[in-house]
Amino acid sequence: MSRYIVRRVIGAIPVLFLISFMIYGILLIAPGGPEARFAQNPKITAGQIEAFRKRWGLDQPLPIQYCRWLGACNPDNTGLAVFISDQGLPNFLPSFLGGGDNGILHGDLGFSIKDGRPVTVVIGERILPTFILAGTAWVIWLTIALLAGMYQAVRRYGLFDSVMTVVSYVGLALPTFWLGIMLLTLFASGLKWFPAGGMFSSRDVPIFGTPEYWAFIGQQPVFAFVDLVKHLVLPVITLVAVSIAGDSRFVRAAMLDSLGQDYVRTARAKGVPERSVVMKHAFRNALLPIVTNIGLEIPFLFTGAIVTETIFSWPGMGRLSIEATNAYDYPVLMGVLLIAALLTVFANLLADVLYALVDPRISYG
Amino acid sequence: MSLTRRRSLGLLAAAALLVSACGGSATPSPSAAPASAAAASTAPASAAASPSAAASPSAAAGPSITGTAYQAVPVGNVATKPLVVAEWQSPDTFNPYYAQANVDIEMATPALLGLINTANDLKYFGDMVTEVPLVSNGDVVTTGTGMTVNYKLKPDMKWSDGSAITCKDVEATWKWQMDKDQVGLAGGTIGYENITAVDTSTATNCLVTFNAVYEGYLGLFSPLLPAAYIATVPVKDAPTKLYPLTNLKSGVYSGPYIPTDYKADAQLNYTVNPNYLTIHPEAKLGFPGMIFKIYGSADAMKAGYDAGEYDLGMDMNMSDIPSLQGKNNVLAKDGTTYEQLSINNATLTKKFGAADLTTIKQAIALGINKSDITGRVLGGTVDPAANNVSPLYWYHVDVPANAFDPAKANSLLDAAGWVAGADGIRAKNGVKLALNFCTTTRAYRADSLSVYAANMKAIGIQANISAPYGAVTSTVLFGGWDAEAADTPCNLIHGTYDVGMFAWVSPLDPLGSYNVYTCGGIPDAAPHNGQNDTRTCDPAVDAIWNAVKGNVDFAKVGDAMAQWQQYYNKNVVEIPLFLWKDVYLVNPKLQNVTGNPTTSGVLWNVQDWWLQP
Repeated sequence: MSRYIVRRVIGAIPVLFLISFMIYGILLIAPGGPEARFAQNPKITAGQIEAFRKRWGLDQPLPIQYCRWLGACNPDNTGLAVFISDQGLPNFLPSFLGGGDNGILHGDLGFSIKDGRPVTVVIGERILPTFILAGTAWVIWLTIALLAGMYQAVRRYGLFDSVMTVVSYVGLALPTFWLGIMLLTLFASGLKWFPAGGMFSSRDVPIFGTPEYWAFIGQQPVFAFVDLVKHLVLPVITLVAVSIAGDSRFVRAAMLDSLGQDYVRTARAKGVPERSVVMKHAFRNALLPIVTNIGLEIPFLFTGAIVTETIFSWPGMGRLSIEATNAYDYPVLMGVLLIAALLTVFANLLADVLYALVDPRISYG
Repeated sequence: MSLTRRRSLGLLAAAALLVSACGGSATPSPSAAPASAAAASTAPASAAASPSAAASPSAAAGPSITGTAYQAVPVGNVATKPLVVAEWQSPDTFNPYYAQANVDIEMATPALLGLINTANDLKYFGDMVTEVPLVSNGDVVTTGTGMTVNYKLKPDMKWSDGSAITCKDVEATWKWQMDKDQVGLAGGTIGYENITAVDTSTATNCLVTFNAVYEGYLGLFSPLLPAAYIATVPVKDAPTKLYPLTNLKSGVYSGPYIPTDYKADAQLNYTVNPNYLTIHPEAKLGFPGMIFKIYGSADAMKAGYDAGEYDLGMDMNMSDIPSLQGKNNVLAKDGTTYEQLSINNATLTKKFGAADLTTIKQAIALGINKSDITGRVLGGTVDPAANNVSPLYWYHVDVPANAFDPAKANSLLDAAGWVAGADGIRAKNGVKLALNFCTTTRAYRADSLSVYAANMKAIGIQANISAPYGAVTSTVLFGGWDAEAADTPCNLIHGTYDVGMFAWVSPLDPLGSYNVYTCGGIPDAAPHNGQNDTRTCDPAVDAIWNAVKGNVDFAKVGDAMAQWQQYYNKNVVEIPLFLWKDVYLVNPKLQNVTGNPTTSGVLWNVQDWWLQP
């Protein structure tokens, strides 16, 4: 198993490299750019724009820009020396081996062009809010999908199956932005049951993530928790409603397939109680495709939901993505996309590993 | 009795750029020199407490540019919880000199003061100076080709860290902007580059020497920066390390509320500046602090108002009004952004010849029914405009408008020899009278295109409103010289359009429009950063604008601007359609919210706000 994992990790390196190359290329050929903010401002001279481009390395040829971002090139050098670190060795090497300290190879994602903060900081402060929102929604919709899917399969064509089928397809068909705005209008604007946006009450709770916030949790844990839950309700409902259909239909199909297998019939013929037939014989075998599907949803926990986070003013990764796109903030956008790619590769690997755990017949040895 | 005084972030030149760009559309705005202008020396509100309160002797002689009528309702209650204002866009910076969006200015307004500011009725007043410097009060003296301005600081003012506010701060603010390592100033260095010296021999009489007569001097030093603090950060690092969003507590401020914590896309917290009373001793703050709550969208912000999550919602305009129906206390004020049809002189001349240029432009102006746009498309939320200069501006004059008159338009074209063909479209010498209309995909603009097509057809002009013309993305319409190919249809800076519909900010300081209408502002020449997209080039116009530029006698500036407004309408430089509305959602209990159409913005008098119990 460990050899298999190592092999997969090594195999992922060129994939990630290719992805980063493609992302960088696509971003840089898009119209506009960070200096577009100065367009048609006569108070900004060409010299000032050039200084801005130089400051952010935008004056360099694209391959050099990419090479610097990757960390294979030294931003302080020119010519062929660009590949040499300040310590005199190839820049791509880890800094403790004499390489450079810039670029993603060295864990440096650069600085946000929008507000100048390190990209790692910008992204770092968004991960927890996204994880709270996406994680809560994910657990809820997964639980409902598993239970509903199983029950639908067991009671195929029954009333519950029919109702859930309709509900699932309605949820699947609902545009996220529409559902979100409707929930806002009804429950925040109209009934005033839940807050309209954000993840904490501005007047009563310190800013989330600050030392004051953690101190506040220590002082008033119940109030802080209830406040957070109140802010979670609408965005979680939105995410659950639009996401539950896919998984529940998937579970239902997998269970139906499993329930029709010979070993299930045999178990029933042997007089095994129905609960055991469903849970031990059918569900265990249905888990294989379900695990794959769930594994591929893991990146969502960190990359967030762009539309939902924007509508409900949730300061997470999804909203960061759209803000960075609008601001031509390439370093942040590259960081977000790279992390998403990394998580997707990792999630695939995880799914494959989980295969072996849920199905002893599979061996990667 | 409470004698409050207004303050605010005076205007930062490029701020005008930002107003429209941040109104939800990528609309550019004029160059915007510091949005200040004239002068006088009265302070608003409780003027009696201030040495600057006496009416300027010059006020009667020149244009009425000072002596605001603003009077705050005295603070009758101090709230126990902070004031919450809402936005739906996030800031890029807290330093107004690097501001890239209106929200950047808004968030800095409560914390940083300028020397001179503009009240809600667009009268100038001294925020940190005892009087607005003018020729008439002897504070401005022209010396040959140059001039000196005496900015008289109020005595005993202190920064938030307790240090004294002196002429050294004025000098430092100037030098900081002119530093060779300075990059990314939104307002550039215009005005500051004409300064040759700042006399710091006294603490409060800051005699600034200019090597040229600079009409925009009232907009300089907005805001004033603390010398000691800015010296702690190398200028090359200032865009990210001076007033860093990650550590706003490290900054030094002058306004009533100073920032403490910031969470991107969520919230910015302020606390009371303990030294604000050294600048405005009569002030009494109505809140123990302030919060800027940032929503993800305008829709969420509107819902948040119903849920009682904030006291003031901002950054909305006339297109939001229909969705605000039924909400309590919607404040809609005339702004200074105007929607217009911009006519490209270069392409029209090339297609139809210079001889008929003015005739065709006049026919277009007479053929456009603005009421169709304001009434049918925008549902009557705005009124048709006659002029691009806000009626609130001191130099505004009533000029004959090009009222809707298709019969007159037809007769003008008939007389010029443009004859309608079988399809109803006019032609002359084998050239069809067809115009390429361009605008952005914003709903009301896209909806307006069919109105223009119908209006133009009625006078025998074909309006091309379909791809590649018509509604295009903001990126294409406003794209920069290098960002868009020279032949990209519907790009303003390359001039690949005939008639363009978009919004522009009419700056309070007329000098802000200099580059929009003079020959030197045509962006065809390197470095392609002029704003004269209509390619207007007339020596008579240049003469008018040079008179504006080279004068600190505001009576003469006013005369020149009156001439300009006559010319503007007569020669159809543009077709102004309507003035935008600045729209706010205001807690009915919140007092003294007046709005402010300049980039000082609605928060210009936030120190006077208080909440009725």
